Amino acid sequence: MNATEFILPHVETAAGQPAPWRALFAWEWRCIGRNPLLWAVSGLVALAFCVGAWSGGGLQQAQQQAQQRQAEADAAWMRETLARVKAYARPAAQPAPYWQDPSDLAGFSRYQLRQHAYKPVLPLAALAVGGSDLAPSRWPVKLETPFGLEPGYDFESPRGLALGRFDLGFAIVGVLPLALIVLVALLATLERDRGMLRLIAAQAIHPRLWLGVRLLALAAWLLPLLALALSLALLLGGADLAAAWPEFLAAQALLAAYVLFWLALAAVVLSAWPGASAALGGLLSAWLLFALGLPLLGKLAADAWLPLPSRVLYVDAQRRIDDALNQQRDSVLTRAFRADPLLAPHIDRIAGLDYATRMSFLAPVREQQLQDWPDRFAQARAARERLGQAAGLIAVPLGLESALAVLAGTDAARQARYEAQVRAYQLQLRDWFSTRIRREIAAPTPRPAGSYARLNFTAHADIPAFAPADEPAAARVRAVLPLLAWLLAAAALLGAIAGWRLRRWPKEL
Amino acid sequence: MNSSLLIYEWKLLWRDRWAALTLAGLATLLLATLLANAWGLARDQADKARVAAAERARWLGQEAKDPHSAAHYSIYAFKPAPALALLDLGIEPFVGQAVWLEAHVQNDLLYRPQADATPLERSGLRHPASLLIAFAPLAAFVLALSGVARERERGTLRLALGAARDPRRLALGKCLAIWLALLLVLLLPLLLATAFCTGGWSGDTLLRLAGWAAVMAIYLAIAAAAAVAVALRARGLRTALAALFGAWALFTLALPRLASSAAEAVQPLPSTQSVKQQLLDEAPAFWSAETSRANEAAILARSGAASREALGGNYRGLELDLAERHSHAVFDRVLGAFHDRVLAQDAAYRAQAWLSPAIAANQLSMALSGTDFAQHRQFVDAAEQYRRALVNRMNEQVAAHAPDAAGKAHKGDAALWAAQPAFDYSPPRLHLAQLSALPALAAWLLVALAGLLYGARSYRT
Repeated sequence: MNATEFILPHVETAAGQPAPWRALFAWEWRCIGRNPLLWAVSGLVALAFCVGAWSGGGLQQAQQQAQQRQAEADAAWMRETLARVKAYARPAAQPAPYWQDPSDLAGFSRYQLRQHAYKPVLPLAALAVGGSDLAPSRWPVKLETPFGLEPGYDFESPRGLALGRFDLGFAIVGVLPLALIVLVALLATLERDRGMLRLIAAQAIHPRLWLGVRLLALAAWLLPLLALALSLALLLGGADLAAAWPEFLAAQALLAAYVLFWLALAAVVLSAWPGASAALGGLLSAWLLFALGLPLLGKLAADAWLPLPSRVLYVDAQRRIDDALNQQRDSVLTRAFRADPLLAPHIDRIAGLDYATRMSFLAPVREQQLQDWPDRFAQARAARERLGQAAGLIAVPLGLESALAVLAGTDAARQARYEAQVRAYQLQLRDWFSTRIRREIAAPTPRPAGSYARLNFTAHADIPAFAPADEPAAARVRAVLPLLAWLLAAAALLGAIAGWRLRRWPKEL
Repeated sequence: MNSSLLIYEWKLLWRDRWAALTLAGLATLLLATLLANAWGLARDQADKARVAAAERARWLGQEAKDPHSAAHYSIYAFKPAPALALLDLGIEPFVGQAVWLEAHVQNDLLYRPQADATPLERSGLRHPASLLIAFAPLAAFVLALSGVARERERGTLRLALGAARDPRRLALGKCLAIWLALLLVLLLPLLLATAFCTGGWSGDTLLRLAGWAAVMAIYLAIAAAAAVAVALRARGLRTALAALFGAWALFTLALPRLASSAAEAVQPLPSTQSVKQQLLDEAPAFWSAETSRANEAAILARSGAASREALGGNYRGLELDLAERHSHAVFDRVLGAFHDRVLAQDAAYRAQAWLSPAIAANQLSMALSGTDFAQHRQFVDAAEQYRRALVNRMNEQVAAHAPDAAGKAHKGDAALWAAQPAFDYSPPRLHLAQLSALPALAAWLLVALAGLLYGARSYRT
């Protein structure tokens, strides 16, 4: 028996002539197409897709607008700063306090520098909100912030976060399987519930063909309808499909594979020839296991065996280290000066340094003393990520949710890459200012006689800007291919199991 | 209601192995999440108490320094876990738990527990209230299908209703049996476990727990009554199945999220970027030389003095105090309005409790557990009032002491630090909780009961 015959054996007509499976398929396809349930459920799913894309797309657009406004505000601030530098260059009876003087190098770097880093919104962001409702997409970059990342965040309604957003990802991962369960449980059990299955089993038709063709006909309706619904929803959510066509095709492929997975799982449940209530119960149990039980168990396991370091204790550690550093600040500065050939001859100048200049030396030392904490956070998080990835292969909805977030650019890995870029940018800025501050200590710019401004810093236009670097679309598509293959393989395996269980009609119907 | 009828229906329920398994599975999940929450909250609370005590010790043990520097040093305040957070985490995983109460700035609460969560942890974030609200109706529907729809399919229900003097009694008996099963298997163990896990009971906590139990009991009654009503009215088992499954997915899974999206659309929040920018524009922590000149003019105009020297005391302290009090007004106007908008959005969500009992139960559960935004804001405001009192006290000290003859600034000492009381936060009492979704929940109960009685009566006719 070849593979085609295994899946769809021939129908024997009353006269003993083989009837092509296509005839049965065409008949089932027409029957399902005429069933209002298909259109009602598909319509609701399409509506859910559209509402989800609108909701998720709205969030992404708001984040994009916030980034644009921030960039405009920073540019306006820089224009104002340059105007003040010009204005402050006038003579005055008393000099401007250094922290108010935009032409004072150290004062500007600590009190007036306004630079931001951004994570751009990708063209297919409406596909899944992912972690973008919690994680920031816009970071103020300050020189002293430990490890580059300000712990602040964009406030989203905590009630909405706790409930979960009705985004397109949720509609696909959570709502679609429920719709499929209803369709399969009601459309594939009609004969069983009405007692007609006994009559059918008495005919010369193989059970695999009987059930397989019905599920295939259902798939033949659902796959194009859902592909259409996804395209429509993404367009309504503001996605630029032309700009993100590789991700869009990958999303369509994932959606189709997910539908096939659930239909194959349904075939396994239906191979026991249950009635509607038992089929619904069985499939719902599977959904609950995947969508609720496994993630819940995974979280409990992560909390028990992979605990995250306490942020409260991190606060305590920062405060203790700050206190200790404050006690040792002069000796720390002396060591830094001695270790630096440029500054070593000027140790006597330490006592006269302003607070901002001192902090430019102390901030990296503070980080060295705190380094254990981000390392521990990173290790714990990496272990949890690995657990999540493994769980995503078993809890398929979780895996799909993560894959959709990858295509949308709202996943945790992209966030981590951007956080690393923000840190690199902070170090670049630090280095840029530190070099100038050290030079200024070693050879101070003479203060213009009688000037209100210090005027030892006028290179505001040369301050480096954040230059984001993203992975290409192909990398995002490659990242989801393992899950796509896994879904298809799981569907094939489940289909084979169902086919094997459907090798004969049950003895009792 | 005949008690023998109730006992009979109760026994019938437990004959269905799947129904019993469903209830037992859900009860196990509820207890597991409750215990996990209790463990996590107790651990976090111990950390917070320890570090808060260390913060107070650090404040008291500071060396002598400029009082305004002490205002910058200040303390961190930690939000204690609400009384019944182990039953309903509410917004707690999504709001910060620590705030630095420093001069010039009303800082955000930082370190949201879910900020570091992976997708697995976010998917697995559950608590007893969320499980009960989302999945107890499903258990009720399974029991109703088992107890009513199958009997109807077999024809035994027709016989029973036909023979009964009042079919409504029979329907009520079935509903009561399901409700009692839900109460005894799902709710009662939760309450007992909560009593076991919670230490230091106060009258307020007891009232909250009683209120929470009552809300959940009403919610379970709605689920039981609706399930029996639909099972009685449906034309057959398949119709009942489709109707109950659809109702469950709609009312408990889809509508709460959709209502939240609708509330966001109706009452959108200003973006954090625009709020922060407004604060930066109107009350920057480090103001410009131009603002300093305007401050000086305002101080001189207020006092009627001709010059700084004529003011007496310490001009720097006066300017710090002026800027600080100006920032308070800005924070009240900008952040206060922002928090009002969040509350208005919550109210818009709450108003949709008439659309789904799950929304009503969710809102009431959070309010009774002390884990909604209204009660979170009480902490935010209390911490901010403490910050203002601390900073004002320090600035007043600066203003009151002019530099000495050698030009050395006055330093605060241990006596000044001790004069500032410790931050002692008392969570809001129950009477301040927002319980306006209660009428909607009561209305849903009435509708469900009316549906049940109508279903029983019309079935006979």
